[in-house]
Amino acid sequence: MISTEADFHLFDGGEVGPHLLLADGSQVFGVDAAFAEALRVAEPDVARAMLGEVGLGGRNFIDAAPPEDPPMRALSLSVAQRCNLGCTYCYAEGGDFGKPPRDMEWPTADAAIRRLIGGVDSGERVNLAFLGGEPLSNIVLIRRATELAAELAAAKRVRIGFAITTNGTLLGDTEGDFLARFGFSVTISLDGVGPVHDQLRPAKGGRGSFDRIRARVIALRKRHPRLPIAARVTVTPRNLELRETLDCLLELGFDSVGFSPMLHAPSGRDEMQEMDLNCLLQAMIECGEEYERRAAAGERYGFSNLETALQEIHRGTHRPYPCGAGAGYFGVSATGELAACHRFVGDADHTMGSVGAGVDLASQRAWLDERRVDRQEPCRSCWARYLCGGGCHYEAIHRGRPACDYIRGWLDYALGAYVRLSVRRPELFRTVDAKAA
Amino acid sequence: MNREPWTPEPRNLTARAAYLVPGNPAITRPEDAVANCYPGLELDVRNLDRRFFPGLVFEFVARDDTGDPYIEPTRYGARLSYVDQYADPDISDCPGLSDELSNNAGTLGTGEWYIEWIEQDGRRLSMLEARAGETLPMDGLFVWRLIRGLRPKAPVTLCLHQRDAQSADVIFNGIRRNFTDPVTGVISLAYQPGEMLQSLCSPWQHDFRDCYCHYWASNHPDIVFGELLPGEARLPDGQPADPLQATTRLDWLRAERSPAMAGWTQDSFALNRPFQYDAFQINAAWRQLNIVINNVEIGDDYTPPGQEAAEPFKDPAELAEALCKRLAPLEMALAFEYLYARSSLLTDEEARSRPGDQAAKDRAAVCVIYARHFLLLTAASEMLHLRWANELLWRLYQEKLVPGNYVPVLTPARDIPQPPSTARRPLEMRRLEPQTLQDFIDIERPSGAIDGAYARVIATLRSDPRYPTQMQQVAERIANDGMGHERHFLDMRAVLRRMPGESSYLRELKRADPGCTAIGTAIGHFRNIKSELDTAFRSGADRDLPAMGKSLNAARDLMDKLLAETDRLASIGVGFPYDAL
Repeated sequence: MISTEADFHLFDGGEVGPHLLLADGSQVFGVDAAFAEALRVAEPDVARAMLGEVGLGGRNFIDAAPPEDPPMRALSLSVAQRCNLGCTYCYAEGGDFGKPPRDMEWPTADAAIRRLIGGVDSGERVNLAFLGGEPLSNIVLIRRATELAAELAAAKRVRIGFAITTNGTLLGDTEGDFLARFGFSVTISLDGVGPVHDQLRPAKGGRGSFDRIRARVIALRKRHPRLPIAARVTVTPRNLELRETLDCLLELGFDSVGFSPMLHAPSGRDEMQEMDLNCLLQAMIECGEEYERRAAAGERYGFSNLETALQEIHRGTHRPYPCGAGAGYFGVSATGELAACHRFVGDADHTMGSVGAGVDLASQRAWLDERRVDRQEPCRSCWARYLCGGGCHYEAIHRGRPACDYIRGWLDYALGAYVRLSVRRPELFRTVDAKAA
Repeated sequence: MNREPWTPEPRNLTARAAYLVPGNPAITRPEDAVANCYPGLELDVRNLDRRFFPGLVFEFVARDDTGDPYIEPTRYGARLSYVDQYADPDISDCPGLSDELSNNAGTLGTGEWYIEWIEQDGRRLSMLEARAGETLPMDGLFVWRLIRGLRPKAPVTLCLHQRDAQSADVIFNGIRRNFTDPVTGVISLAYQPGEMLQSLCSPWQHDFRDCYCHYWASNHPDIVFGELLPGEARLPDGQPADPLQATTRLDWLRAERSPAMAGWTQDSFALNRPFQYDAFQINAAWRQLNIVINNVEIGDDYTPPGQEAAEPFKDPAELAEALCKRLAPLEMALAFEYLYARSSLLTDEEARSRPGDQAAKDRAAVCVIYARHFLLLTAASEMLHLRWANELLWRLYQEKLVPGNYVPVLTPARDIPQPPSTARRPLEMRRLEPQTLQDFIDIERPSGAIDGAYARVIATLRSDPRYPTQMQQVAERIANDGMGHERHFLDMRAVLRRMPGESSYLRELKRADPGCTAIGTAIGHFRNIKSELDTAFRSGADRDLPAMGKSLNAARDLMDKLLAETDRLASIGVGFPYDAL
């Protein structure tokens, strides 16, 4: 039921006219211009009546109850809590999460995989990701874990997807062949091109890492043309030239490039401030406009932030949480604790059981109850809450929510881009329909 | 507030699933249906299976009842109704199917084709059965039942066979379509509005009532307002002017149908029941039950709302200004844009001479023939509208509704509206790239800029008896004639999107400078056309019809010459600058 003005958002679709987002269910409707103007200034009661009159807002998608003991569907294994790079802002504080470096032992990985696949029924889908530190520094364990997971999944007819996020420095031919064989989704962290990257992501000794990674990516792309390789760019005040980065990385052979602002670093370095976030929004929109131009001409442009946003808006994704952390997804520490996600690895306050004993239901329930977006401030009164979900738990807990204006600005743009493209290029959303199937 | 009626446009999947069309009862979604299997009360589920295979639409031909004698074996089964290779959005889920359908569309367009067998998961289902020692086609109802059992979203191979001819069988590989989105329940966009309801009929309505299933009311209006006949007085909001008629509620199932005898509906089911059709009476008289829109019964005539709502121009001078400054110039500008876009397309010979495999080139050739033909047709139609807009104008002078003398309007508009926004774009000579085509679709969209403007002209001409009836007829012809343009462009877009790239159908074309010597001949033709049209329109204004006909014919001959010449120029990369002359 529509109750406050925060339950809808009016946005401009440009040439396709004014549009309305209903927060509940993330429903998008084209509306009459005069209606939009009247709704914009209407008191909540009047707004509710106006929406009801044209048949909107009568169906509830999200209720107040948290999900009941959601089953585990995805794990990330922190296989190597150590790293050969020394990024200025690393949440894992150089890969070791502020503790002595260590690798995951086989019994931990074995138990984690058996718990993940043992908990689902045949026909269901699970995801297994390898993170670090730098995960490829423990490739022996990754190989063994992947082979076991694939074997167990095949025996049980469970569909499994593998993913790895790496700094790319150790990604040679043998590693690439292995990842391609198991159909990995590969994400490489790169923060720009050349010196821009090097100053943010130097090797521990201080030398730049870009040239080495670049050579690795080119070789990998040549050897495995169809392996999905994505770049993840952490945006700090020192690498705000998004469009240039995006184009250069796509040219290098990445299928897609995604940007994510650095909001909280344990070191406090390179965090984005309000001004920086404004610049980021402008730069994101600039990339988005290029995406729209290319899409209109029938070309693909691997700007993954917008690709993802468009798919989610098309499906009407609505969720009271920002992600599956602590619900269907957990991060496994090198010693086998289940953390709410990979970013909480090593954080005793957000440990929810272990791979041996399973999920601690009491802490999981408390987490899901406490972390609902409707219980967060200022989220409760924000129209974007079911698209955003309240923002990364880790960042919200450690730094609060400094990026709300940025997120709303970006979603407002993405909504407009969605309605424009859904009119101009409806077939772009066919694949999403198919995926939903 | 007196606003144009509008309804929200559900865009994304959740909106499409949740939106309840105002006026529909709360239980009009398929998931609310309690209906029996088929034909069904809310929808006929066979309509889903008709499109089980993307790109093909079938009809299940069966006996009226499976107990009836089996007497027309060659008619029974799943008969191919038509190939829908352009508009079906699910074809992209089946790699290669689009090309296969295009390659076979011609073959399948001739004669009658039936499904001979279907294969899924390694099992082949034959659509034939042994009957008295012979192998004969199964009844369509049984074929439908087999198709109903196919696994959704899984690969399917099907064989089409022509029973009365010797053509080779045609085999397609695809999938069994997912009829509804498993997440949102939204029905595939392949199904057109109204398609789920076709083959339903009113005889079933008594089931609703006689089984006391009033909660099944999705297709069943109970209480309605009577039909408003053409010519009966209406209030500005469309309601009847007669207050009694506006407030008299009728029982939709009433047995006495004459307007004079229609009485108030009673307060309860029991009180109304004696005056309703009985079950078997409905079976005979169901055609008498009216369609109901917005609670009002519709009789033989239905006038959609909207057109009447257009605001008339305040006087003949304002109408003349609109024709002279906006409408006639717009028609001319569009004709120029379409002609230029046409010249940017390869001819079929050129498409065939491009590198690539033969099948792709043949397909490209067919596509460019199609697109060139409809661009020419649409441009010619705009030229005709230019003449008619001029005719409307000269009639205003003839009738002395505006002072002064008529001067032909033969100058194109410099900018063109961009509906639905209020922005305008400049008149521009552009190749038929996707954006150009989109702009053509936008300007020709019904209720967009053009027919919206003519709706005002028509409203003006109807509002005042001083305007001759013929003027109204001319304006209506323009408005109606434009309806097909958007369809042509949408089809064109569907066709061209399936081409591998713009280079497979577009020429490298640059708009020439008006001073360029190469275009001298074309400029000569162009100027002569304008001069002939000027003479023709002036003759029309002077009521000298023979002279008008002579000049129009001369202009037509010159247009053929201009077309041939501009096409020759375009083949060497020179675009004729219609806009600069």
